[in-house]
Amino acid sequence: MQDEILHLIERWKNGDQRAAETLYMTYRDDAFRLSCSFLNEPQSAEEVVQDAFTYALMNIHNYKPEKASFKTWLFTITMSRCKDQLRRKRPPLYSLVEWFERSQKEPIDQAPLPEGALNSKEMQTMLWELVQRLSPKLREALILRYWGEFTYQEISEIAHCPLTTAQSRVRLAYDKLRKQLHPGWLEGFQKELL
Amino acid sequence: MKKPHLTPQEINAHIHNTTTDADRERMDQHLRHCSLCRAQLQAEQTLKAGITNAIQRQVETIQPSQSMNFEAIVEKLEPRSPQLSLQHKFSGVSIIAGILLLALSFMRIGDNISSDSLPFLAYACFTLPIYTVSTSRNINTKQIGIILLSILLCLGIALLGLYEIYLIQLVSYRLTYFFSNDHWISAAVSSFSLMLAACGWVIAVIGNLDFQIAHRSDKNAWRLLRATLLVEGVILLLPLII
Repeated sequence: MQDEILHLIERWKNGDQRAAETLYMTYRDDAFRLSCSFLNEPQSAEEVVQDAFTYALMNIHNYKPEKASFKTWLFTITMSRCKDQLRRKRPPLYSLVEWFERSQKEPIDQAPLPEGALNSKEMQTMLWELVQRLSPKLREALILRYWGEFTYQEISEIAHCPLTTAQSRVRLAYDKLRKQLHPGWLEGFQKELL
Repeated sequence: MKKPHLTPQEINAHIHNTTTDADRERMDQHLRHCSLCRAQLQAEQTLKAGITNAIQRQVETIQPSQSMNFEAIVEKLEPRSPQLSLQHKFSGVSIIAGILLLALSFMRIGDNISSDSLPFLAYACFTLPIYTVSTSRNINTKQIGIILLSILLCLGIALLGLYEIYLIQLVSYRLTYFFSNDHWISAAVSSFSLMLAACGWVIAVIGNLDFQIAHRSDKNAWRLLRATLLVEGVILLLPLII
């Protein structure tokens, strides 16, 4: 796979646009999923990914295969743009009453269990809400590790942080999630995994 | 002596494979004899697998829209880097223009104000090549001197705005006096233009800085600098005309 990608990169460097298109189609969905998981806004995620691809393809000569895989390099660019996007976003305005009501409800100590038999779809949605409440740094590390199955080294490169920080972010994200899960979730997961 | 049970942090590190080899060995040794910790570890592993499964399934449901395709970016890929070459071309011209303006400033053409403006204009011209180098994508931390120089030049451009506020005041006075032939009306208009120019300066400095930082190495940042220098150039040349 890596050889094929390197071959496509070489072809694109020589001006073959079809090679660029193949590279785009190979990683488009994953880059979008990563971006959308992080930003939780499909429209912004789309803009970010298109921008990241444009930058990556225009600056393909900056890519060093001996340092990282093309996927890691592309995702580094994507995440960097995602963070820029997040920084640019103004904080949402709340009314004081709304804020008070929210503060009464939060933090949710433990995610409740759906009534009756555990519905995996419901569990999935509830868990995703908890993931979205994590801080951007923890969310980034968790998604890269749990979904992308990146190594800690790759996560540290994508997140621009030391290796040990990448490791502790994943652990902390998991810890925060599990603290919010009712003990019954374990039973649900056990049933599901069987 | 009975060995202590594994802490939640240790179990967390174990399931995430973030322990050192020595710690791992110690933990595994303990796990061989402690059913309680083994059960705890098993539970955490199940929980982690469940969370992983749920996240993976959820992320896989995310699909890009139809509009997100290669055709949407292909136009941007066409010119492989004409912007950069244009920037380099501009930089070359601006160096020559800067040297010429500096030479002209020694010749003292026009009135005092016009002559005084010329070195500032030359300075603005010299910022362009430095900007080009400092925003090139291949710059590394070893070239920190260039980055610092670029920051200083940007500050210089901002300070140049202060001199231009004075020029705007002067030009508006001259212009009003030309039409009204009244010193007091001209003074009032020039004071008002001074206030407007000062407000414009604050907005321009903050806006420019914010944009340049957010869009470093972007062609839009380069366009903004070009527009800024053009406006500065026009203002600096105004005393020559009016």
